[in-house]
Amino acid sequence: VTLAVSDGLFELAKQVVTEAGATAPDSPLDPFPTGEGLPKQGGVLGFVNGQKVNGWSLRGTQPAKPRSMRATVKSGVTVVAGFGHPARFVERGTIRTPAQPFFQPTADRLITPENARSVLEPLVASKLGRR
Amino acid sequence: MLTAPMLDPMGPVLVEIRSEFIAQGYGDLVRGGEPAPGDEQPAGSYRRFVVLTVIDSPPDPNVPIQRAAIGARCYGTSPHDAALLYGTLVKAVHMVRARLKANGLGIYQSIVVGGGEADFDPANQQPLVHATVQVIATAQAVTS
Repeated sequence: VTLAVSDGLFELAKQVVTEAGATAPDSPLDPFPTGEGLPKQGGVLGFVNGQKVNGWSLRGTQPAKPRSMRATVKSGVTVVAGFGHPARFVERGTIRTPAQPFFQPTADRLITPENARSVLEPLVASKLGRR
Repeated sequence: MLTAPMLDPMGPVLVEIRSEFIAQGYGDLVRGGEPAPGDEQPAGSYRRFVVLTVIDSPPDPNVPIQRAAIGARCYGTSPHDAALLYGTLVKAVHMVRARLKANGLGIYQSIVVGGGEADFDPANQQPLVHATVQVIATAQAVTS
């Protein structure tokens, strides 16, 4: 059951990162060509009982554990979603550039009971052998 | 459904935070949206200031309340100084319970839900500490 819930939450987090990436502004701080920078910096990590069980990123590589992630919960499911540098400064702004929030609004729009159920239910139900 | 335009929680929260900084002897250093002219200084001449921005504030789909996420950047003259500003911001709004503002905005609670990370602004390398304040407030004006 725990692994099935982990897969469901992971899928929901992927949905958030994918949609946030589609609206993420390209950052002038990025050394990438247009459309290849911040819009592809997103990733998701999944942990069950403190062990990494899943990883995914928009670039196709395994994302690194965030520096600010203090500790992984030793029991239960932890799913971390986000964007790497310079997402924080794009989302919050800098001294010279205004804030352009793209991640939090997407997360608030998609992480709702209704959407979470529509994403998790098929995954969890199929792994538990019933729909 | 709302019967009047949704209230902006930023102004009342900014006033609360500004008042706390003034009470602590820092003076008026809280900005809304963007730094004030002259805030950006080169290394060695850094000034203290705090910038608040609304990250988002969606209305609840079922009841007339809003959950605003307000981002704060506390710029200090050093990493330690930025941490002191962050601490003052936390004192101003963390776990502050129900209050009614002059414009009728009812704030059920404000909580610092994230922050404390030391960082440097990429533009001028000034030390700063980030914070995220969640404000659960009425969507419309209410009376006590």
